[in-house]
Amino acid sequence: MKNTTEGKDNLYRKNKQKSLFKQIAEAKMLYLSLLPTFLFLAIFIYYPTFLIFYRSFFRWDGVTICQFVGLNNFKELFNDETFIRSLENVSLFLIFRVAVLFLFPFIAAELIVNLINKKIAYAWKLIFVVPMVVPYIVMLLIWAFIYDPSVGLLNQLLRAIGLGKLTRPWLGSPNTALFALCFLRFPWIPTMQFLILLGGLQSIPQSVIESSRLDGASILTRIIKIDIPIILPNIGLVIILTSIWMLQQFQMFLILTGGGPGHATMVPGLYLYISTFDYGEFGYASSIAVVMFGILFTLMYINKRYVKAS
Amino acid sequence: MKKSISNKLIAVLALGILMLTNIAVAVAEEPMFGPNAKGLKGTVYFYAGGFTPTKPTPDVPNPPQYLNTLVQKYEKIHPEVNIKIIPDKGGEYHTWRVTQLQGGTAPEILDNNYIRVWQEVPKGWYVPLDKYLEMSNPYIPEDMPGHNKWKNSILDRVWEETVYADGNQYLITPMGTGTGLFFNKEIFEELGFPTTLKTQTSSWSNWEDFINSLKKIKGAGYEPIAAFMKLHGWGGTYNWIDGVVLTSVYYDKIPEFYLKKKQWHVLSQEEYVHTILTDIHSAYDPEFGDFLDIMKELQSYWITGYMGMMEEQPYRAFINERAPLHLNMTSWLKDIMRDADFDWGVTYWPKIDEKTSKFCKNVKTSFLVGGYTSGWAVTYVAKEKELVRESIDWLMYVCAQENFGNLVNDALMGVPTIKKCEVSEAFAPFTPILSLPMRAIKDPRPRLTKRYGEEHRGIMQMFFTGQLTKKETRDKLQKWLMSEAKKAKAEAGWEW
Repeated sequence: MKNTTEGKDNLYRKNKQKSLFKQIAEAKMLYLSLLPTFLFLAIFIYYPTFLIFYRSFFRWDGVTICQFVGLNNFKELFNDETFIRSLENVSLFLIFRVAVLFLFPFIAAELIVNLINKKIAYAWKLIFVVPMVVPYIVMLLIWAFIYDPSVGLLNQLLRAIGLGKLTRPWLGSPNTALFALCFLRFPWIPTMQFLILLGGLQSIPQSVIESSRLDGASILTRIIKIDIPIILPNIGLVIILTSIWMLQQFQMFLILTGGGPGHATMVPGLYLYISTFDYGEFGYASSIAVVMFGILFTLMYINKRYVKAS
Repeated sequence: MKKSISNKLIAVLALGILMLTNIAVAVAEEPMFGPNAKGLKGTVYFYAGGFTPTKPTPDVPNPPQYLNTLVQKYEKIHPEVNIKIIPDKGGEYHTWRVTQLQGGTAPEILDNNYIRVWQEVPKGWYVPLDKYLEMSNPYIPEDMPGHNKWKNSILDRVWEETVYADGNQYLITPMGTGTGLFFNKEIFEELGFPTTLKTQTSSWSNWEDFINSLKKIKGAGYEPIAAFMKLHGWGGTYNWIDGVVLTSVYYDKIPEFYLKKKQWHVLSQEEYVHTILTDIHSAYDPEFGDFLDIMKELQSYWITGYMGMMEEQPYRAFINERAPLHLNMTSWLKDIMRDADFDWGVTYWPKIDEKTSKFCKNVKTSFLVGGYTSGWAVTYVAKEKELVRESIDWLMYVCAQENFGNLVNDALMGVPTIKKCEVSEAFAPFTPILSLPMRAIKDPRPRLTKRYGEEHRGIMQMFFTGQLTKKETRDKLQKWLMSEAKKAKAEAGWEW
């Protein structure tokens, strides 16, 4: 073991003494094989991203008008009541959705991991994974029907159980529209988050679980003191991925409410979409994208630091 | 010798001139368009809007199909021309259209309305059609209007409406979209309302009478009007009433809004911007206050949740007999004819008179919404691909009376504006509606800018739901009116 480590250290030291170009020349085939991937990334990912940053300093209609305006787009953006409202809405949406989209898949994953009958556990896994194949747009249309104020499932159900007073135009009232969208896809067990957490829980060695049991730890104690600390990187990943998806989310808002009533469900993603394709204000939309990037980058940084520190 | 050479020279020259004349005559006689036109070739992509054929489904067993027949017939006449119909893009059509035009991949012919076209002409996206409209349309029989001059086949009123500020026409508008209130005759009878019209277009003599009926309908447990109002996109049927009510309360002031053309017409963006920047019109006007009051009262009779609905939901409310009135347009005729299990008719909102607002004392009639708003434009892509002649020829073929009559009766989309076009009886109630004067103030979006339209609707929604007071509503609307008017002026470079 010691010899092997020493050997690696020597190799590392030797490599360090060589110039970078020499190292690249020696491994040229490896670098060449990476080149197409890098080129595609540069053309299709990094270049458009750079372009968004660059264009955010212009008044640009996507075709002809392209005038440098410095920070004007950003100044206008932070004085734009619709954008400020969209930030407030998305904050609420993000907090709620990240919480439930972590909590509920986690509970589901714990229940499945703790099932003794592996066949039943497999069946449950399947049940949670199958919704992934339902097209998103179909799911949204189903929810539009559920929330229909007159013939919708939710109001019908409320009437049937004698709670007719609670019926609402769920998507048509500014007091309920955002919450109605937060509740979309109840009981909130999205496949991706569920699989990430399940994978983490399944990787915990059985010996650790057995030891905790022998030490007399309750299930709740085990979850808090063993499971969560061990799968913290998975939890971090779920939180960061969910945050990214929720912040970028606009389809459900576009299809179900269009951002209304009265901007009650306007979010930055939808505002960006409308500014680009509806208003043709590509420069302004780029500045929204830059702000969204900033928020996401900050969230990722905080998450990375927190998870690393843990 | 010299004489014989000069004779020969004269003979050769004469022969040459004769040959050139013959060629010129032959070229001149060769028609540019029509069944005998030579050299037409290439693929013309065509976005036909509501005429786009689709496959029958259990829900829509009888969708528009006739365009396929026209394509087949046309391709037999011109075998080297291929007409490709682009599938319907649904609600996101305009987003798709703009991206295609920006990217240079738009179809040669696309469906649009003149207000959008006016906003997009400065980008160079459309081909002016005037020189073609002055030509003969050989697909029209000799005894029909339009054979000698294509323009004559369409009502003059349409051309007056759709002409752009530069004096050019960029759209062929072969039909008018009729809007109206579809009503359930059985519920009307049950409530003791007459099922025949009181005026030429409406069941009510004035707005007050209309509101009283809505109250009675609501009192009987129905949700009076199935309509909707949405942010983003065209925004729903709410827009129609918004423009009608504004036009009514500003009726006496409208002539002051006009810049050059003084006869009654729909305000152009430039005219509307001018009225705002010169303080002729603002959200603080007393007329505007009446507009807000009328709209707030009216929306209280709309179906529950109308702000968070998709287009089909109000339609279902009408079909399921929850709402006896349904605000919609001719393109839904086919669906209503198919789905309604009850006897129905078509009426229209009445005029707003002084009983409702003191500013409406001179209003004699209601105002038309919709009208000549759907046409076909030839894009710059056709020019770049040298397919303008093929595109025009195809449009001439489609817009010939017989062809368009069959097309419109198959799709039941709108009332033809083409003279002597035989149409279905179903359009009959819309003919008097289409003869009403156009509202001068358009939907919120085309009225000023797209952004203003969105903000206007958003602010109105907040006003309707009590999130904003009347004063706050005026403040917010005025802020957007000013900022967007300034922006539009700067972009267009208007000087008055």
